Amino acid sequence: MTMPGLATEPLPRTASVVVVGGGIAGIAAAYELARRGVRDVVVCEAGYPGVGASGRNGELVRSAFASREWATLFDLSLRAWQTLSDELGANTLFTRAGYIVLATGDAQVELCRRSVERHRELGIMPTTGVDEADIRRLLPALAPGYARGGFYQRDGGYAHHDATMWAYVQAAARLGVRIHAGVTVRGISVSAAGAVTGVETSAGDIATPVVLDAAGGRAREVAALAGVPLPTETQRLEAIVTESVAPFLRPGVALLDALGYCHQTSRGEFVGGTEVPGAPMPDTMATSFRGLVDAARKFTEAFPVLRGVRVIRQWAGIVDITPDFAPILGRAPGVDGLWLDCGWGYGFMAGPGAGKVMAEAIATGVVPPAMAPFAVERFARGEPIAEGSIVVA
Amino acid sequence: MTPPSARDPEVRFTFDGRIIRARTGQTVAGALHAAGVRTLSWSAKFRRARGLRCGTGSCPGCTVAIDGVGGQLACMTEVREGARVRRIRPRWLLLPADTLSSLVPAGFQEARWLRSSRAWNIAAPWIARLAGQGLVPTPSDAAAALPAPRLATRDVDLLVVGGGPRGLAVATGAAGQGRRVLLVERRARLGGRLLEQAGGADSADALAAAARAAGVEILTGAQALGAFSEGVEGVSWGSRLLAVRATTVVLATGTLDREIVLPDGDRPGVMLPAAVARLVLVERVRPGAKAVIVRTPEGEGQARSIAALLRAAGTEIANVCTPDEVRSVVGRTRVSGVRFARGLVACDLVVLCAGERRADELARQAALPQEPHVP
Repeated sequence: MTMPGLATEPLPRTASVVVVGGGIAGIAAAYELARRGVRDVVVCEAGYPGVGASGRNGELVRSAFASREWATLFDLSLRAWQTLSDELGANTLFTRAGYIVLATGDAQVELCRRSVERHRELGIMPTTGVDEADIRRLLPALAPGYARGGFYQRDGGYAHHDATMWAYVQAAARLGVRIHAGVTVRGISVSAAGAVTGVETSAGDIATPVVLDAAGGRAREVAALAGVPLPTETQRLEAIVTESVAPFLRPGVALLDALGYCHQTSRGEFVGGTEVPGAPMPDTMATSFRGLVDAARKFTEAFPVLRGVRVIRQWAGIVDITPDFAPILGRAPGVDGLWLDCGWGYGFMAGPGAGKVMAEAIATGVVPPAMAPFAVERFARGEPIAEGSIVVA
Repeated sequence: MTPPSARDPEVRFTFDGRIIRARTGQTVAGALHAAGVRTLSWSAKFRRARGLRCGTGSCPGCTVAIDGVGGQLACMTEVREGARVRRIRPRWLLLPADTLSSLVPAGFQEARWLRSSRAWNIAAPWIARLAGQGLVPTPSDAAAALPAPRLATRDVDLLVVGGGPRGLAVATGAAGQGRRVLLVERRARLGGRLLEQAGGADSADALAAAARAAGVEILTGAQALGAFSEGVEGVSWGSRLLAVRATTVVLATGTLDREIVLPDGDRPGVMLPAAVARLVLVERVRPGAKAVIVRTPEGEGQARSIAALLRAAGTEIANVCTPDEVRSVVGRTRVSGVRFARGLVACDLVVLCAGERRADELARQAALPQEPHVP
């Protein structure tokens, strides 16, 4: 396929870094590597940039998480989002509309109250606790009595995933990154000494000392090509989109109780996803009836005005989720030159920041502090990251 | 043309506050056309006037609000006594409709132009206010018009999507062999394309009667949503949402008219053959006084039958031409003519005849293999 920013020449025979996966994780890392002066960065994308979860997500952006590890990493991203359009030279449609987390039960209200204190200690972009009056002001369309508390991050919001992907693709291409769409990585060659020597792809082999696995929902399969097992599980997430309606919802919203998240785009569509706890989440991008019904029921409960609004699209994307829902960032154990940037369930919002730390680690060989806690070894050590403020479970 | 039959009971509804008289069985779009209304909506960005165009629920031209609920397609909704129909007005207060399209080139993307994060954050809420097109119903309107949705599951041997002649024939045949058959049709009336042929209504009624007699369960006003990963077909039927588990699904969705792109070809009064034929035969409304028919080689058959229908309905055919002869369509809120190299031809109706395409959206959604359509 040809689109602006995609390489049209044949796949090169050598590269300094091969990034597997042209989602936001891979392209942002490739862009940041090029910005650091790393030349001959090649991205191999089996489909087209953003075909996976990067183009199939809730589009929300926040850094207000409850754990030090999450909040620190996601705050790097949130700060980058504020001026990403200027930097990339194209509008990502990041809208700083605020992000509100809504709590219903006492336990959730208390969790949110403590979260705000935590956010202050961590020094992330500010959050404030909200009471019922604040909620009425920020979300006039919310059903009265739906939420009793929560917190609000003013600098959060939402971006458009396609606009963001293409802004990154074109900015990376301008810096010399070669992004090859329709190229599937079929093998990773590892020397007897345990170092990456190259990749085999559907369009030929590339000799490279560094491979970054940023293959999203397929990351486990890619790591397995180098004999590295990942403790991840492929899961399906779904979202619905309605017809365009007049603005009724300004901030991005997380509904803790409903395991839902939503926003209204500047064009007027309502976009939201929900989770059905315990529902089977097969490894397919086909949408489910159960997902449609669950989303329609929960969102019309929260926002009664949506009862008269038509659903025009439903999508599913796959993610490769870790046991603690936190991403895997760092070296692959036992294979020199293989880096992991996967296990994302919140990969879109984290993309800009994760790209920066991953590029720094690869370019300098020193893992930055914001990235260090996400090494895959945490699972073998039995030390998962505890994060209580996630709605995608 | 047959005038509205005195036997059809009269229905009254309001349109932007004005009382409109219609006949039972007419659609909102048909009744409004008869009342001389052409502009039914405005485009989201440039606020260009739009109206009845496809007649098959495939374009947003006739989107109106009914009883406070937006997003209703006037060409697919039958009139109901006392309904409150209104147009969803665009929210650009300063400029009269359609001014923007003369000032700003087509395809202009304000979002692309606003590359500065700061500028976008200032502009975004305003753009949202201007672009937010559809209506958000008030909670009381939503509650009144839309009872709490009910979920149901159906188990059948055969689900037929589409109540045209083929769907009805398949359903009748299967039911005759003792199978449990459910047929869903988007419109209120069965018959599909038969209703767009002179004399076809009788055949349609006969086929529908045969299907009912054979024991086919028929849901009209029911929209098939697609195939889901659980192996069910979703069907939206009024305020009900059905999960249909069927051993076999037959997609008998028929065909849709192909579009022709012309300069300013989106004006109200530019229509596809299905809309024109339904105005004449189902709504019993004269589509216009004077028509220009634009046809491609694939649309020659359509053009001939539409011309015959229009003449019988008392519409004068001002010209029949090919798309490349047309310089532009003239008239802002309703068609007033077509400009050709040799001059302007006055008309109040333009019919685009480009043949038919398979209505294969559901097949594509279900990822079924596609064959080229042979008309």
